[in-house]
Amino acid sequence: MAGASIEMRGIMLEVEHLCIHGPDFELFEDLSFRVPPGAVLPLMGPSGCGKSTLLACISGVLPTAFNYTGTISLNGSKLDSVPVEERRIGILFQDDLLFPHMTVAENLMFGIPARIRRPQRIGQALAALKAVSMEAFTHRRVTTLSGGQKARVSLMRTLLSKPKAMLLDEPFSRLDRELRTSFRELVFSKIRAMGVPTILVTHDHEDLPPGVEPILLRPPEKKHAG
Amino acid sequence: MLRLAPYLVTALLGVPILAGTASLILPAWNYFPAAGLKEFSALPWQLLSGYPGIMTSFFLTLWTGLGATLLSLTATLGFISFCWQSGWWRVARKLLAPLLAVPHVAFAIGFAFLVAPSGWLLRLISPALTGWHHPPNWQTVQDPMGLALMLAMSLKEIPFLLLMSMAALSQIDVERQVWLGRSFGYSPHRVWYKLLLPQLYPSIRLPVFAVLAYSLCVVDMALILGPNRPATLAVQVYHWFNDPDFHWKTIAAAGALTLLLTTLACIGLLVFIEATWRKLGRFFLVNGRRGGKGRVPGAITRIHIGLTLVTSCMVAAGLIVWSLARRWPFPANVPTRWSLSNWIREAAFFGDPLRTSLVIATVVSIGALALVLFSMEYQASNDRRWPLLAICLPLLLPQLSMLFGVRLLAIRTGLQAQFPLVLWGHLLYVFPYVYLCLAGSYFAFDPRYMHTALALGRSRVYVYFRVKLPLLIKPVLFSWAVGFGVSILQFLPTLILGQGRYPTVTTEAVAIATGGNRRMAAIYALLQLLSSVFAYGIALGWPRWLAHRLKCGESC
Amino acid sequence: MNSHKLIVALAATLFLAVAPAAADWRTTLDEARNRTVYFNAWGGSSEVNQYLRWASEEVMRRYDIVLKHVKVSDIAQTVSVILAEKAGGRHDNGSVDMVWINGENFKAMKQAGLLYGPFTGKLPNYRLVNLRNLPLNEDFTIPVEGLEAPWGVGQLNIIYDRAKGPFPGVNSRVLLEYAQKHVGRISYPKPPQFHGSSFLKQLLLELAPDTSPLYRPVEKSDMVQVTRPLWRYLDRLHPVAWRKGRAFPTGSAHMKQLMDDGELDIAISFNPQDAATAARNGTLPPTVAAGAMEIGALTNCHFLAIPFNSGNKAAAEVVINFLLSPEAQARKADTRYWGDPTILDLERLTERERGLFDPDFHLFAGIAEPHPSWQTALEKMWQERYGH
Repeated sequence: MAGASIEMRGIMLEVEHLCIHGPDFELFEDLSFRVPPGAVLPLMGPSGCGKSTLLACISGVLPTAFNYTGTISLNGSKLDSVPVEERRIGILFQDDLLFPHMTVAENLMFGIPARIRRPQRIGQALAALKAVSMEAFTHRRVTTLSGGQKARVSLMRTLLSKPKAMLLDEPFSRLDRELRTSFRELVFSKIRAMGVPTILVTHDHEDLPPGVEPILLRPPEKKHAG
Repeated sequence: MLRLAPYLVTALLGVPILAGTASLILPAWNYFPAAGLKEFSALPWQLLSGYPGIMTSFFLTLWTGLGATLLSLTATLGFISFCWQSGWWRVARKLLAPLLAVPHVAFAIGFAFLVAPSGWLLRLISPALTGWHHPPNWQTVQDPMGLALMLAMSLKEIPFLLLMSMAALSQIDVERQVWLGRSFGYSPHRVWYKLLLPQLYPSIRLPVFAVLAYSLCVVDMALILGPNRPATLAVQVYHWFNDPDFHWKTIAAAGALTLLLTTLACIGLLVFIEATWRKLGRFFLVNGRRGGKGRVPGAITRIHIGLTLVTSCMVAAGLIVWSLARRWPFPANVPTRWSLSNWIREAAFFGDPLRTSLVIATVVSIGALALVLFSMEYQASNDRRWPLLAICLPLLLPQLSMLFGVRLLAIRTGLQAQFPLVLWGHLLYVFPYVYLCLAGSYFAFDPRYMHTALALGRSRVYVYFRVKLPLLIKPVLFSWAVGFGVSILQFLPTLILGQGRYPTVTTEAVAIATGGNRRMAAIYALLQLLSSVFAYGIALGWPRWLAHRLKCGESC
Repeated sequence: MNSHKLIVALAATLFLAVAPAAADWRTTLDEARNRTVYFNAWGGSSEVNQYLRWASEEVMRRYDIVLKHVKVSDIAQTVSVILAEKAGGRHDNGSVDMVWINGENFKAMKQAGLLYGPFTGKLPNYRLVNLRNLPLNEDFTIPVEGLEAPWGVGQLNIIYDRAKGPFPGVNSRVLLEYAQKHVGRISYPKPPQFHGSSFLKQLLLELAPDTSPLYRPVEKSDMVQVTRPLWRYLDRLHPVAWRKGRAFPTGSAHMKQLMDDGELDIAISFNPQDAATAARNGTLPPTVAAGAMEIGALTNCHFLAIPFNSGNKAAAEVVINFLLSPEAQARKADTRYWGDPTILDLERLTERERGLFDPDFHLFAGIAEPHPSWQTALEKMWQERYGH
C-alpha cells in the first residue's frame, strides 16, 4: 500500500480490491490503493506483469479477454458503468502518438473540451506552447519535431483536455538522459499544479518521485497448476 | 541478376502499355492504313460527337462510375468506423476471402437473376405479398439509369476496398489511437472520422482510383447489367471496335481516347475533392465536437454491410439453384423440377474453356509472382521503393483503351502470336494485384533474419529460399491466389488479344449471359467461381497443411 | 440395240466424268488429314454448339481433322477480320478456315473477293442437295455461284404457349390486338441482331402495299415511303410492348429465357423446330409450339463458305462435305439435338438414309428474303427512331 504525503485539494482516485483475470490466469489479486490529487503513484514490475492492462482497466478499455472485480472510483463516484468517453482520464504513452495529419497547434486543440469556441481554442493552444517554449512550432507538422519536443506537445495536449486523472505508461523511457530529467520535472510540476491524481507505470527507479513508495506488481500466476 | 528487375518489368509491362496507348492516337485522327485511310482528319471525332445518344452514354458512364466508387468507399469507411472489432467485423473478416473470390461476371449474372422482374427476390415474395402471377413490367436489370450496374459494382468492390483498408490499418496504431481519442471524450466513430480515416485514406488512395477506373470503363458487367439504350461509353466503344466496317474502328479509337481522358479527369477530380476536403475540413477536425452515439449512421452502415453479405450469398446460391433447375416457372420459390442434366449435357463442353482458364491462370499467376518477388527483392536489397503509382498504372488506365491500342498495334505490325499476347494481357493486370497484396508484408519483413542467416555462412539464394520465403509463405500464397483469381476473371484481354480463339469460362459466361440462357450462364459462372475459390483454398490450406505436417513430424 | 449402245456410251461418259472427280476427292481427303479447321460460327445457341461438338468428334474419327468451333456473337466481326487480313496482305494461312454466313455477310464477302471458290461442285454430297424445291442458288437475291454450300433452312417463326391460348402471331393486326390486351408481354430482339432485323422484314413484307421494291436494291428516294407503314405499326406496338418499347431482348435465346420466366408470351426463332427442341430439353414449358405468319414465314437458307486465304481449304471442303452428308443432316434435323431443317432432297437418298429423317416434318409456307441492302437500311432507320 502506498500513500502520498501531501494532501491537496482536487480529485482523488481510488482503487479497491481490484482483481483482473484473464482466460486461465490471474493478473492481480486484491489490488487497492488511493491516489490523492496532484500525487504521482508509481507502479513497477517486470515486463508481462500486466501494467498496461491495469491502465486499460482503469481507463475503461479492458480487452474483452479479461474480466475484473472490484471498484474504481474518482472522488467517490464509481466508474464501473461509465463509458471511456465520459471518464476523462488522460493518458500519456511511451511513444507520443501525436496525430500525424495535424499540425502541432491542431494536436493541442484536439484535446480541448467541446464547448469552447474557436478563438479561445487557438488561444489556449498558443498559451500551452508558450508554457513549454515552443511557440515557434505552432504550425509545424508533428513529424518534423524531435523526441523531446514531441513529448512536450503530447503532455500539453493531455493537460489541455482538463483530465480528472492521468495515467502515464512509461512516458520517459524513449527520451535520452538529459531530456528525461527535465521532462520528468515538467510533468510532475504540471500535475502538482493541476491537482490531478496520476498513476505512473515505469521500470526505472530514477523516475520515482521522491519520498513515494511504488506499488510492486508480480508476474501473473496460472489459476490451475500444470 | 537482381539488377535486371527494373528493366524486365519496364520492358514487359511498361513499354507495351505506352505503345498501346500511343497507337490509339493515329487512328483517332483517321490514319489507319489497314483500312486504306491515309489522310489525317478530325472525322472520327465528329462522328463520335454526333453519334445519337453519345452524351447520354457519357453521362451514364460518369454517373455509374463515380456513383459506384463513392458508394463502395462510403460503405467501406462507414463499416470500419462503426463496426471495428465488433461481432460484425469478425464475420466480415471471415467472409472477406470468399467474397473476393467471386468473380465480377459471376456476380453480375447472379445479381441480374436476383433483381430481375422475374428474379428470385420477387419470386420469394410473390404471390404471397404482391399477388402477382406474372412478373411485373419493370426494368430493373439493364435499367436506363444504370442503377443495377452501379449497385452491383459497388457491392463487388466493397470487399476489395475493405481488404486494402485492413492492410493499411495494420500499419497504423489503431488500438491506442482509439483509446487516446476516446479518453479525450470522442465517441469511437468520431475518433475514426477525425483521427484515423485521414491517416488511412492516403494509403488506400490508389485502390480507390483503381476502383474508379474499373467502374468507369467496365465492359463485362455492363454488358450483363448495364443500360443498352444507350449503353455506357465503354460498351459503346466495345461494339464499335467489333463492327466490321473499318470506319468504326477509327471512331472506336477516338472513343477509347475519350475514355482514357475521362478516367484521368475523374481521378483528378477525386484528388481535387480530397485536397479541398482537407483544407476546408481542417478546423472541423479540431472543433472539439465529440459526436453523439452515432446510432442512426451506425445502424445504416450495419444494414448496408449486412445486405452486402446477404446479397453475395444469395447471388452464389442463385447460381447453384439455376444450374440445377429443369423447370422453374414464376412465381415458384424454388425450381419445380430439378435435374443434373444441365451439368451433364454441358460437361462435354466446358472442359476446354475450363482447361484454358486454368492453364492461363496458373502460368500467369506463377509468372507474376516470380516477377513480383524478383522486383521486391531488388527493391529490398537496394533499399528503394518503386512508386506504387507506376506499378498500379494498368489498373488506373481503361483496360479497354489499352488493349485496343495493343490490338491495333498488332494489326499494324502483323503480329499473330495470339496466345502469348493473351498471357501478356493477363499478366498486365495480375502483376499489380499480386504486388499490392504482397507489398505490405514483404517490405515489413525484418532484414535481420537474412543478416543472421547470411552471417552463418550461407549463400544469398539459399537464405532466400530457405529462410525468407518460408517465413513469408502465408502472404505469398495469398497474393498468388489473388493473382490466380484475377486471371480467371479477365474478359477483355482474352477476347481482344486472343481474337476469340481461346474461350475461357469467363468469355463463355459473358457470351451466354448476354444471350439469355440462364441455366448455362449459371454453370459457367459457377465454374468461374469454383476456379477462383480453388486457388484461395490452396492459399489458405497449404500453410495449415505444412504446419500440421511439421507438427506431426515432431511428435509422430 | 441402239438404245442399249446409247446407255453404255452414256454410262462410259458419266464414268469418265465422275472418275477424275473421284480421284480429285481422294487427293482432297489426303490433303485434309491432320489439319485443323477453325470454323467461325454463331455461338449463341447451346444446341448448335453441342451439334458442332458431335461433328468435331465425327470428322476426327473419320478424317483425322481437328474441327475447332470459334464462337462469335456476330459473324460480321469475322468478315471484318478477313477483310483486314486481305488489306494487310495476308493471302494465305488466314486465321479463319470456314464461316457460317448468309445474306448481307455473304454479299459483303463476295463483293470484296473474300471467298474461295467456286467449290461446291467438287463436294460429293452436293449432288444430294435439294435444288428442286429450295432457293439454294440465290442468297437473299444474290447469286451463290458455288461460293458457299447450303447447310440448313431458316424460317422465321413465333414460339407461343398453347396452354395460354391461340397463336397470337397470325398477322400483324392480331399481334397488335394481343399486345393491347396483354400489355408488356410482346417484344422482339433489338436490331441489328439478326432475329430482330428479320422480324422487321417479316412485318414489312406484310404491311407494305407493294413489296416489289423490297426485292431490288434500296433506293434512297423511296426508302422512307416504303417503310412508313412499318414505323407506324411499331409506334403503336411499342407502348404496349415489353418494357414499353424502351428495352428489347438481346436475341432469340434471351426471348426464350424471358418466355420461360413468364415475362414474355412469345419468342422469335429462325429454326422451325426450336419450339419442339426447347420443350424436349426443358428450356420452355412442354406446351409450346411454333407458328408462322399467314403471309408466309420469312425463309432463307444459311450456308458454309471458305475464306480466300484459308490455309486448310482441302480440310474445310472435307468438313463441309461431311456436314452435307445424310447422317450429319439427319442429326442436325433431329429435335433431340438441334432441329435445324435439312437442305437435302430426301428423294435422292437411299431407303436407309431417308429413314434417318422425320417423315412428318414439313416446312412452313415460305416467303423469300428481300434484297440485303434493305436489312441494312431497316436497321439504320430503326436505330435512328428507337435506338436511344
